[in-house]
Amino acid sequence: MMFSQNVQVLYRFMHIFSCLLAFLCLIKRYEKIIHYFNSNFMRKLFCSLLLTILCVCYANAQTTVTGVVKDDTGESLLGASVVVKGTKGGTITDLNGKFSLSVTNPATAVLKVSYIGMKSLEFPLKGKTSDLQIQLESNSNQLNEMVVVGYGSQKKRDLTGSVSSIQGKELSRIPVASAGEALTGRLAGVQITTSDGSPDAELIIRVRGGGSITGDNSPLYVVDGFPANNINDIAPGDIQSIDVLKDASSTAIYGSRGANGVVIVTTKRAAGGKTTISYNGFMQTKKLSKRLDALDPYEYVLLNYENAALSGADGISAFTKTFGVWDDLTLYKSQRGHDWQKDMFGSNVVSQQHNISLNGGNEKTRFLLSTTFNKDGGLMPSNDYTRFNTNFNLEHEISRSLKTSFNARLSDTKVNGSGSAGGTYKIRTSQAITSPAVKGLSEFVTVDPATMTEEEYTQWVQANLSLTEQAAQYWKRTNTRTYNFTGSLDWKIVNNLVYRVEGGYEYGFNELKNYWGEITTVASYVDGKPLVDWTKTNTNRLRLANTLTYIFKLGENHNFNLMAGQELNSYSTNYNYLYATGFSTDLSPDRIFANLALGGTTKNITSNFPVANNQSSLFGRAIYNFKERYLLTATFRADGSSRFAPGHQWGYFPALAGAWRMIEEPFMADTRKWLSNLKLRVGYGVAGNSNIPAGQTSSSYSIQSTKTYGLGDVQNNYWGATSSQLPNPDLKWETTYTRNAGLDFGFFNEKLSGTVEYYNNTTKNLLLQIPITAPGYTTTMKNVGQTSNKGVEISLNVQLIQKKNASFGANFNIGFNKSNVDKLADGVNVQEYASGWAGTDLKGYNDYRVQVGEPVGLIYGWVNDGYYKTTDFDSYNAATGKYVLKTVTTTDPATGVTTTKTVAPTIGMLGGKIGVRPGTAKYKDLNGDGVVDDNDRQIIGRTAPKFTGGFGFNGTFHGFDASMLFNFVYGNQIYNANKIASAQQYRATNPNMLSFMSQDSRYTYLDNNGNIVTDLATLAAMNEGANAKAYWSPFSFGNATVLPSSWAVENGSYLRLQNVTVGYTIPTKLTKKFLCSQFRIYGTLNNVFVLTNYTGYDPEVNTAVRGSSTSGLTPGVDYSAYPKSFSWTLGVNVTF
Amino acid sequence: MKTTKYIALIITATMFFTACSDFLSPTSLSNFDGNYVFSNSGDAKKMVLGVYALFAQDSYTSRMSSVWMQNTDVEASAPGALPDGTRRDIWSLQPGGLSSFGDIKTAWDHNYLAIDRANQCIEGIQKSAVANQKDMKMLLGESYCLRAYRYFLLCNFWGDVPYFRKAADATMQLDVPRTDKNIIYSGMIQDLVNCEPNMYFADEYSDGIERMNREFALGMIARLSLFRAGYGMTAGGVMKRADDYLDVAHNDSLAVTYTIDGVTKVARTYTEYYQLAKDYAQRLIALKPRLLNKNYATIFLNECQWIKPVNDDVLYEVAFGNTNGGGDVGWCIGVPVTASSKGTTTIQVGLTPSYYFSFDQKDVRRDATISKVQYSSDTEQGTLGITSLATNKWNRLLLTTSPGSTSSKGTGINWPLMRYSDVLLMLAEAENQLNGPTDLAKQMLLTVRTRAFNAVDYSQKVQAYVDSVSTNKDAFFNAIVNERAWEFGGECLRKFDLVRWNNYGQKIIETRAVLDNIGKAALGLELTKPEVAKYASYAKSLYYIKANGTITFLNSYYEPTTAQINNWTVTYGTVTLVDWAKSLYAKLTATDGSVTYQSANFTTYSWRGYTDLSGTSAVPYLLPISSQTIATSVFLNNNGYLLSSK
Repeated sequence: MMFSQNVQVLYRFMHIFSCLLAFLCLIKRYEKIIHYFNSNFMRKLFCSLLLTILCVCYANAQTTVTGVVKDDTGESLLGASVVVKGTKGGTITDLNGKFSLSVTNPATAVLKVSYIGMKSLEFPLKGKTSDLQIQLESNSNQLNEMVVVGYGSQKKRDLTGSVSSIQGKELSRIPVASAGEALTGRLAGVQITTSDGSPDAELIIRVRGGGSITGDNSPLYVVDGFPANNINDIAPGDIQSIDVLKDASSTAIYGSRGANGVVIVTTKRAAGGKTTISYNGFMQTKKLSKRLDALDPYEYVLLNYENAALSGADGISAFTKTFGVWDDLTLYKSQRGHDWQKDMFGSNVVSQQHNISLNGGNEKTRFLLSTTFNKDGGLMPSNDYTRFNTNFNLEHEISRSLKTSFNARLSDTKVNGSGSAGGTYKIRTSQAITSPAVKGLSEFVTVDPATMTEEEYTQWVQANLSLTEQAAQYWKRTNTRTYNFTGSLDWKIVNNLVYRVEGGYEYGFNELKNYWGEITTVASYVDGKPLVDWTKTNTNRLRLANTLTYIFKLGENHNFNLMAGQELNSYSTNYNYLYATGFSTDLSPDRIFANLALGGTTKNITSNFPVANNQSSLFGRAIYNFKERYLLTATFRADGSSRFAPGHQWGYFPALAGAWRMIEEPFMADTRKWLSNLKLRVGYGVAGNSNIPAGQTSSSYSIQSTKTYGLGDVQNNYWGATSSQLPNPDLKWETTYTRNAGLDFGFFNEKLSGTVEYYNNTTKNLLLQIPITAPGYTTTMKNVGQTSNKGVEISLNVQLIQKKNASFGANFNIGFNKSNVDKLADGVNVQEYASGWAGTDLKGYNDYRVQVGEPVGLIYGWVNDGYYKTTDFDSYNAATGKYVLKTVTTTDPATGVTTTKTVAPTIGMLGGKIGVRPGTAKYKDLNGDGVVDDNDRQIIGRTAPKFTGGFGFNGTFHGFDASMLFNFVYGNQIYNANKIASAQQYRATNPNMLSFMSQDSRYTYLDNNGNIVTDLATLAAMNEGANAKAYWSPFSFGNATVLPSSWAVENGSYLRLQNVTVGYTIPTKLTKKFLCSQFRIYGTLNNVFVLTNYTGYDPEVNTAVRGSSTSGLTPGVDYSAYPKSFSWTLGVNVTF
Repeated sequence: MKTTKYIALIITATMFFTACSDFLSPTSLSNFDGNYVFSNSGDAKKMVLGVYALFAQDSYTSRMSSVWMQNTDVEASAPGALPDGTRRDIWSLQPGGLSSFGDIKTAWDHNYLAIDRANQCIEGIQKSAVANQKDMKMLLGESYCLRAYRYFLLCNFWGDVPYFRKAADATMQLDVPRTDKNIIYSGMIQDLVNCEPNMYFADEYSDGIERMNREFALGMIARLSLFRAGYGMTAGGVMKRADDYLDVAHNDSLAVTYTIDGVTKVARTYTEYYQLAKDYAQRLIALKPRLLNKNYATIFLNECQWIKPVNDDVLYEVAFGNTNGGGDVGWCIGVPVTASSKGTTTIQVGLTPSYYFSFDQKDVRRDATISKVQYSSDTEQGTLGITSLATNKWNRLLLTTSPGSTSSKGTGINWPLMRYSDVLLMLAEAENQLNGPTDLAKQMLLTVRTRAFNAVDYSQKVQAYVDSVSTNKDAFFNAIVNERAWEFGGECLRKFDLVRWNNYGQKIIETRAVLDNIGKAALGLELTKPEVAKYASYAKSLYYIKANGTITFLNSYYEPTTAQINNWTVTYGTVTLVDWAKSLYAKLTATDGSVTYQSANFTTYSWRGYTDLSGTSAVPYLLPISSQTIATSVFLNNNGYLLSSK
């Protein structure tokens, strides 16, 4: 059977399924829908659903019982469910916690009262019918919290694996734009890094380090059972809980995809009860949290004068035309320079978020509708992020044995502007430093563009536009719309035997529009007029899972929970691409996209339907529990993936874990006064990873339309290999073996609780993109090597005060991780990779290494050794203009052998106009061969942190609440490429530099009369000894030469006060008058301070750069990162 | 119960669905397999176009085709004072330190990608059910030509290189050591000898000279044979012929078997390869004779105007489309244009002043080849300095369809790879090597030279000249060396010609000496020396007038007399002058007033990497293999080949 037919079957299945789930049908676009609507069943179901939503059901009145439900602090509860046990009659408490319902026999009737977050209570009426006082106990004991573990949930006390969880109510108190941001610093062993500060910055989530090298190390995201690419498009307010499965004994149920951890997001479910409307909203403004200092105008012109003077008379005459004569330069002392950081990042930002949710229903049918609008402004002008979310959840009990739920999640995200989007793309944020402080005599620098290379030309053009104007030349819009529909049906076949089918369908529409203005290099390559491209990508995800769960007891003490299931996942994409050139400069980009036919001669249309990724799985889990004391979980999953060739498709992933609840042992009875929990857990499991691009196992051809041959003066599209990598039919699963041991403890009735865990993970058969020597190919995908991650995680929770009107708690988590590359391909100990931040300008090109016995993320380069001093030279030859390096004779004290060497020069490496002379940047001749070259590099930095974590405090006092959250990273190093590019002339004419390159702290050749000094003694007097300069001359480097050196590797440790929130909830007595059951206002400060020694904008940085397929191997680069902001927020939470 | 029925249906559907094993082998509507793409000539052509497409990459358009073909005695651009780790170190013959220069890796990778694509085409077409169709045979021939041309580039830029005749697959040994270039040349020649009879001549199909046709294949056999007969860099860092160090007599992979006029021959020694070159040049002339285009400049004007005549001078030119930003001819090479309605240039290929002076004054090729002016608008000319001479053959202002005022690259001007006059001169050269300056050799030189002069100058500049250089084999060879410089200036054939002739070093030393001597003469220095004195009359400055933006030079070669200058002033009013020969030597005045002289920067910098004053040792012309490539290979390294930078 062909795949397309398969899909049709799945579609058809979905149609049948949607019959049961009426709203799914509404959205489905096929004509068959009409048929279904016409069917009798459909009409009935639809009407009944409408009725149940809109109507309130009352039972027949016989005896009316009234009362009030309160919580353990005496506060009345709104929306508590009160049901007469054994009947269908029930009601919901009102604003004052009051209820009234009819009972047939008050003498024997028992009321069942329940409320979310409270223990359910059975209340026998015993004939009493009025003024019932029912008090519910808080269910806050974390041990009873339900934890989602994949295809089911468990009480935390019964867990055998390692799971970190966070509840939505914790997230919702703090205003953030995304779910990932809200998680930062909260979960032990889960490191969350934002690539930079742009509003659409990528969130990089790593669970326990991540085992892959080239393979994607992202965890598996599961949103309401549905696999997702990321969780960026979920409104934080819609989240019920996030559970992160960390060890294979928990992730094995997700098998293949669980090797890097599983992040399970459960969106809010309908709670039922009386209809409530809530509104949550905030407004936010922000500003650049840190500024970098550039040279002031006078220093700036001095720097460029020195540069000009070093080039001789021609240089000075060009300089004079731009900036004036030497004697007048002091005039610049009084000039105020351009503040390019303000121009680039000084936008007046107003961000806002509004969420309205509607929750209601009755005992049988519950619904939740939630809509969120979020607009996050960027510091850069015309750069922002807008998102609409709608979340609809419907739960319905068809009969006692049949329950169904339906969920629709729609999101629509727009990003305006390119931001920094990957470092070297379009505008570089480092231009905020390097753009000229002043433009000199004329507005425009007089240079001859004909003498420049293409890159220099671009730089020249850019130097003559304000950064805002440049940004407008690179117009970009991204729009991502996701429509996700899921549904499930639970059929209680017999008591304790539940069959569940869940399925879902997700459709994504993604658009990317680019516009290049006339002054861009791209435009100059065609006809010098604006051009556009437009990529539309549609994604399809289908999922179907069937599970059968059987819970039973054997005898008194043997508890079993068995589950078996089957699942299918399919993901496919298709895209089309439009390209057209030659538009009028008068038209706005929006106009152009609406009228593509106005384009000039060059048009290009491409479409592609890449091969789908399909996965078929079978899985099972057995949980055994003896006397609630000994717990055992066994899991097995088999996954077949279409990414591998037949014969290698199936991977098998078993796991076993056990736990011992020591506290339940009789011999522990004495300790229970103070010890409330003690549990030891151990687990071992296997998980897999197949997260590689499709089509790596066999070759095929697809039509190519870029850089074609110009036969007949037209474009000649051609057949080219679909993948640029050499196909490898032998690819198979990458497998992670995890060992986990954990201890959960709690004291004083869980007032102090915590967990300590140790893990040791080994990943084998890494799916590695390795560079090869082969005709036509430079890389292939192979299963090679082995990595390991070991670590310890600790989390602690303290609830010091827990009273009605006051509470105070603190939490702390920390994760230590040590990763190691155990093995690479046979015979290979080192592999080199390029971060690509400077493309081929970067000396040595490869600035990262993967090395056996070391963690991933080693920065590789030269060791800075200050600068050449006059004492390194014998003499200066005025005739040739050359400095003669000194010959040094050393005697080895051990052998008595004397060696004679000149001071090692950097031959041709730096390419600077000053060559090798006093003040030239110096690097260590590590191999001692008398010359500094490519062979004198070593590991100069390690980007993996030793530990990461966070801590926070929260408290309430009467109506006030306050919280603080800190997060920290320790022991990592950052490769500050921005600093390199901003401390020399890099791809720019007359650039400015960071302020440490001032006349006083850099080696200078310029005397007080504006002459270049060549005499050794004078240079020494100016720059050495008593006047020793901190830095080398920036003219050590050529305009297109940058070099990774130890100087740019900085300590990246930091402690950040991520946010401080103070809120006030107006007493319910007051708010009730305005029909509000809750009204809270709050203010938050985000990114309040960062304690760090890092000199760049922010130590939390990871700019993905060119050639991103290996960007996981080149972490910690700071180049053109979008700076982070400090923000103020005011918001309200209102419930009606 | 109704719901139960639905559940039953769901379960059935699910079971049915999971039973399908094809679920795990999905196919894509956008992907095609090898059988399909070679099942008909239309799609097979699209495969071959994939090989051609790599000509459209920067690695070729502005690197291997032209900018990297410097610095010789003809094409040269002056780098800065010191190596800077970029393309300028290639110009200055100091490429040893460029192993991490990304452009070098890209060029290497693109050559091998082209070769692998060609290998896929060769295998696919041979296996195709329609392999016997004429169109398919043409495509097969083109694949061989394209592969041969890419190996030609590899062997010239990198010397001995890994040699693959089969398309890569994971089961092959993919990391292999260098193979001697002479084995590769022989293999490529044999392929072309075999496939050439089945190819179309340019006038036999619609795509003309923009695809590698039969005349190109024949010319390429001659060219590769001359390279196989000539010299190349060996690992030991010396220039050798195959015969000097390889067992040409017994190693069959150094032999080519071919049949010409019914006689089967085997070429093994360099003499036999000269014969092979001669045989195939003659075969082309016999099969497709033609007259040379009367007007030398028209050949290149045609390219600027996208005119592609068949049976004309150009046998094959690389086609750049007017769309999609194709080609850098008229951007990195050609007449400099700093601003115009048709965009701007970034000229990176220059011509030497000594080359300018080497032309006979009457040779029409000089002004067709060398531009002394640049444009700052469509009509406004300015002078170029003598050390910034540019190629006059291509000029973006001549484009008939304007690419736009802010355009730069992507002119769509085609790039000639083989011209008929090249075949004639190769024949002359091969014949001279075999038999000395025979009538056949002389006739070829005469034919090429005839076009270079006006009819009135024929007897003196063509006939008498050819006679004067035909006294012996060496003299005639020298004439061929000169004639190829004059005929192909700016077409960037020189570098590899000098390599195969093994006179690269000698030409550098000669050029430096000529430049210095002309400069000295212009400054009136050392006039007692005959080698200086002979340039005493050369133009120290050029005098020109400018009308409506157009510059007219009043002298071009000799310094005018005072009387002449006075005369010009009377005739034209204002006469402007630009420094010419006197820019070729530098006068330095120190602060104490003392004066010293030294070579011009152009002379000092341009061939900085070659320091042997005797001119006999090898020129370090080979590029290093990228350090990234080396890192992945157990065989490849940059040992030898004069690549060690220390």
